[in-house]
Amino acid sequence: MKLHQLSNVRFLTIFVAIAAPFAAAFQDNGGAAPTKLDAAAIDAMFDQAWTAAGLKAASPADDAEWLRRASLVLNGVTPTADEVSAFISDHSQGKRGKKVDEMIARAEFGEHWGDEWTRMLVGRGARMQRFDRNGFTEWVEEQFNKNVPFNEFTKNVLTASGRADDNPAVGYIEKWQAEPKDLAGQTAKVFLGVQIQCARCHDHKDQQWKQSEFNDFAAYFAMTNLRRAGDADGKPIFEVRDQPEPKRGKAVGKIAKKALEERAKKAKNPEAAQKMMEKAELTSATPTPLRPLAEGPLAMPNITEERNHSQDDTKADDTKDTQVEMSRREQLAAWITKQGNPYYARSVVNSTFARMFGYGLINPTDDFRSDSTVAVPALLDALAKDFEQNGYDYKRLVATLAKTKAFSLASAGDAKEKEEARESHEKMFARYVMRPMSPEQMFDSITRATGIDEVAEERAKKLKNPGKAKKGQMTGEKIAEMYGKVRQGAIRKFVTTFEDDESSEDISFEGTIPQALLMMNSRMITDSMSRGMTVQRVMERGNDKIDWVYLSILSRKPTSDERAKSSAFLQKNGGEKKETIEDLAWALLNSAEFSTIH
Amino acid sequence: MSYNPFLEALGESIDQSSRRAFLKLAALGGTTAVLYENAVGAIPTWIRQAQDTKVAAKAKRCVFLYLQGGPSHLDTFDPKPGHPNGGEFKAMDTSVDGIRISEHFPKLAKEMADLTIIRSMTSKEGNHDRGRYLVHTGYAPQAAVQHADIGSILSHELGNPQFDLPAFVSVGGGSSAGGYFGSQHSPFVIQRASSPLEDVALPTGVSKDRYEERRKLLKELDTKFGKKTNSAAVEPHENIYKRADRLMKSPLLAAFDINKEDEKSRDAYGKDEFGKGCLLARRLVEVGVTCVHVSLNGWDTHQNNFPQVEKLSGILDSGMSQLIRDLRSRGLLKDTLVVCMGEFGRTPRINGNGGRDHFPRTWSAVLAGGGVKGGQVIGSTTDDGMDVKDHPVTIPDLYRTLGAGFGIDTTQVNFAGPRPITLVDKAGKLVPDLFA
Repeated sequence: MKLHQLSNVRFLTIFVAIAAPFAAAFQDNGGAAPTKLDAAAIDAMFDQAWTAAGLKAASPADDAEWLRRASLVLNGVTPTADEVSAFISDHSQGKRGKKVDEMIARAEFGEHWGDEWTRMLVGRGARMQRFDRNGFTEWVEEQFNKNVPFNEFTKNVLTASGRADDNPAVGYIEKWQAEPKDLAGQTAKVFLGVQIQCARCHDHKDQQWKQSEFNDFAAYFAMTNLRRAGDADGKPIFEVRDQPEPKRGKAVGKIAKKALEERAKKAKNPEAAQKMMEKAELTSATPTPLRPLAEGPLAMPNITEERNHSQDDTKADDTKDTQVEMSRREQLAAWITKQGNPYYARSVVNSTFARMFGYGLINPTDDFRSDSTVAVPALLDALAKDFEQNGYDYKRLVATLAKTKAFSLASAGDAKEKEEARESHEKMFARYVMRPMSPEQMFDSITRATGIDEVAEERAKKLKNPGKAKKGQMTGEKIAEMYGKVRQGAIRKFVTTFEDDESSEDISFEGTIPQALLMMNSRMITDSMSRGMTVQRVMERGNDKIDWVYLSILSRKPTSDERAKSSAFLQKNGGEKKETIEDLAWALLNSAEFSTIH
Repeated sequence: MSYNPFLEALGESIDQSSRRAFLKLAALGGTTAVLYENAVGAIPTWIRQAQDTKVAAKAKRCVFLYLQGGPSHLDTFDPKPGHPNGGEFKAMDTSVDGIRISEHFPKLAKEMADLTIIRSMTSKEGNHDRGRYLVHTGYAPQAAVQHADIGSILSHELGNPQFDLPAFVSVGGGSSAGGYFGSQHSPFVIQRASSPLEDVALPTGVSKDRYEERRKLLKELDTKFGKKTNSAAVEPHENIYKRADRLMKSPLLAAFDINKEDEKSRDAYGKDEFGKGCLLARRLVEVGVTCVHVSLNGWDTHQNNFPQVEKLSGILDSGMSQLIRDLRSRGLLKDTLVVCMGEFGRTPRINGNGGRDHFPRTWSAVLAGGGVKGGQVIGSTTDDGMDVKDHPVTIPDLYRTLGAGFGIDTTQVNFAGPRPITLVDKAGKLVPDLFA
């Protein structure tokens, strides 16, 4: 049973009661410089929430479990055996906090979080790519490694123009083919945590958005066009550009619309014609921000009055010095990233929280509604406010959350515990939520655990200079490209959801048969084990071979019982030779423990 | 409640809320009920069920031949030679009087007595991804829900969890996934019917004994981890490994090897991958697989429509007709439903590049077996092929009806996360006369 199938009513009643004092604490600080939220403040909120709910927090995770978790969450990959070994024998104070800072500074931070946000923005990508996904991904990764303020990143994604080979940030508009309605739905979902697509075709009785609201929001993208600007290496290069705004006079606007309609009538392809008509319609619509929710835990009453003026406000703010009018996309980006936007900061911190803790404070993370329930509402508001007021510092957000007590709790439950108790603990983060790795985490961790990543990197480094490559030998770049392809292919096998552009937020432990077969029998696994550095290094060790197999693959030392059992296994199957070590490694690599974040 | 001629005819008024009245109405059969539904709107669930039971549930297995890219109805099963939109192909007679199909389906023409052609398919999804999603799940894409593929629904409803092979196999890609039923109902995907199954054989150098030792160790590890963590993660992990293990060892694995078929019967399906996929589909349903999905890609003919469609028609003609013949001669056609369609149709008007573009407004689907009435055409399009003239059939209509053919109540509610959802979109109405 999945967590969000549970009744939320119980949680709601508890948390409405405790939310008020916290919300008040963050509401008014009399114009003083905002204090930065730290892990201790978050711990206090969790403690109070757990007490109120009658939950007992799990015991802390041990160092090895914590390090593996931190590494997967912050860097997207399990730690190396050396790192685990050094960390568990380090007895200095505050080593976990230091480790968080170290991990945040690694290039793997941007690679992992860039991957996550790329997936949210443009999906994993079906087989046939219409745009340069790699170029876009690299750009996103760079933004996270440079720690570009998240509001700037958001603006860049939404407002980028130009050729894809000059400005890879246009990838988002390119991926969605500059389709206003697709872009409206996706933008609301990713940056605002609301599902407005349902209102795309008509009004629904049970949905909170009206079709007119959807269209007015989509109008922000109505002036944006995509055209083929040329070719490079036989692949088309696209360019994103905004057309000038039609003059505001009613008659002129009507004429522009009429011209588009005339063109649409002449189009031979009814689909293209329909799109042109839609765009014509949206051209004359007035781009309008989404209204805040009127009720429920996400309602922000003080913003309601602001809504009607927000458009003018943003214009006034940003056009003070220049006489240039903002494009519709710029107006949208300005509204989204404006402090006090009822959705943006909450949605971004909530999506980030979910990727670190297994669930969001609101679930699903991309469907905020009037009847949403919030676990620890005060925390959501505090995180959002802190994010807004301290420069949308993404690295700080992730680091602060990683340093909390909740992030350090064990994931194991009491053996006698009932399923309901487990779920209530997990839903309130009184225990760390065990969940499967993402396909990307899985692939990268397999290469790390087997040590095949080192072999690939070494080869790539040696062959970096194409001049030195012997005839028929591959260059480093070629190897990197091939590695990327192998990774994509393997990841696709691990993707359990629909193989297209939607990425599901569901946590499901059920793998598929092909995945199990791949893990047990594939050449990828067999070769990684026999050629990777792990088994080779283990063979060079003395009487602690078993420990190093465990450290390399499960990122922990074996218990004495496991050591004895593994030893018996090795003895029974021919002693400590390469083959039997591989058998042990195989079993650890295929275990439920390996494939989960815990 | 408004005046209702059908109830009037029964001599009872709907205000009496008489359950009997509804049942009587349902007893009149599908056609009346659909007329009724058109007249007054929604019918309560219990009367829907009463109706659905009117369809004799004979189907037990399904083969879905997916024409990826979307073929034109005018170039395939709804020819209009003589009209400018009709294109270059002629129509030919079939074994059933009065039903004509494209001249490039000579073999299928002989099987017409077992086929139903629906010429009035219609949808609103003119984009490949959205159309593909619709024809595979029965729902238009909705952001927050992953619907289940029809094969996954069949796997969930009819599949035997103790069976060695996966209940749902997809050949050549294109199908959707288990959605809210979970990935254990996702298709087992085979890229090429002619390639050996991936990763079912033990790696080189690993003997059976060694594998069993590894498995034993793995089981111990997982059991311990499960006890230690009391987590929901472990049991499904073990289950999927058990199923993978069972598949690796199953004698039924031979069904995946089409080379076991003699050359003559192999050739009858055609030497292309689609033909091989049809052969594989037959071999799999024969041993008990519930649903096989086979893709024939290439129908997205924005340019040079006619040479391309001629070629594809030949491939489809051989593969599908031989599949039907083989199923029939093995006594399997009576309970194996064969569905053949794309994600939408193509524009009746031919574009400047000799191609046809996306057109969801009218298209055709072909069905056979599993209790489907043969030798008939349902619905029709206007002379220019632009509109459905009568009996429009949507994908939810079709799937609700096919569900009834399998004895599945498609109005049952499942949960996708917190959202209640019926197996097939509630808008679906029974298509009258599809089943015998």
